[in-house]
Amino acid sequence: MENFRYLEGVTTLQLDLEACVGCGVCELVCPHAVFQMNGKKAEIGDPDGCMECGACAQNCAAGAIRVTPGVGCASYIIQTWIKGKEAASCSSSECC
Amino acid sequence: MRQVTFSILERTVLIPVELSHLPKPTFWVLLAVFFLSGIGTNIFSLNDAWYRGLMALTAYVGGILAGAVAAPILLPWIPGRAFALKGAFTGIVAGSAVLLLFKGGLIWIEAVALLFITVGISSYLAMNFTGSTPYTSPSGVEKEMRRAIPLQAGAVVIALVAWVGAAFAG
Repeated sequence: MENFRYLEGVTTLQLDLEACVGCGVCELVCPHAVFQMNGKKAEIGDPDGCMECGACAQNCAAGAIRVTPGVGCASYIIQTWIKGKEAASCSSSECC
Repeated sequence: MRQVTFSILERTVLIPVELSHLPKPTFWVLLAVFFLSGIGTNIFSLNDAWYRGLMALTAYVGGILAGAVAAPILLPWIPGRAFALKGAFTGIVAGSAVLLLFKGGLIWIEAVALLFITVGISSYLAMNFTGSTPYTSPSGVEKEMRRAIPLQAGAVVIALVAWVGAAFAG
């Protein structure tokens, strides 16, 4: 994955250090090694590696991680612009 | 920790997914291309619709090959991070090949039109490939799209105006 880097400074990923209990699950589940443990707390070491899949937030028992996950294809995003997020569908005939 | 990969084989198997979106829009593109290609000083010429239409269709197919086939395969080696930019690069190469194919049969306005069609289509289709990768973030894709879509749409509009206009100029 080192050959593949996308745009910088765009991720919605946020970590609440006060809420973090240092379990290390985020570091384990992240497919891009965005998190690393720093003593008894997690830290976002590589924010620009984040693809906003949401695995970290979903697996954080302490609820210390916030991210807006979603589908990143152009057809879907155009649908959200036209129809709104609720009506847009990733599996409709207009999408794959 | 397990990390994802995105090898050339993993990218190549996704190409049919990208191509499977195209039959429906292509039907409308075909209608538009042959209709617009027939417009000229004789109001409408079936001969022009066929011969000029085939040239415009070749530019469209070139855009598909550049954006939905070449860009995914060559992804890590194409300059730039934004997929729309990567698609524009492959589109320039494919568009230049289309112009070489019809060398001698085009006036310069037609050449500009065909190049813009190929680059615009290629850029859009490469941008759509962001949905198939395991490293592009939705926030990044949306940022890229806000910049790229006006340029892609502008390229296609300029191409269509130039293509129809060329029939009156030539």
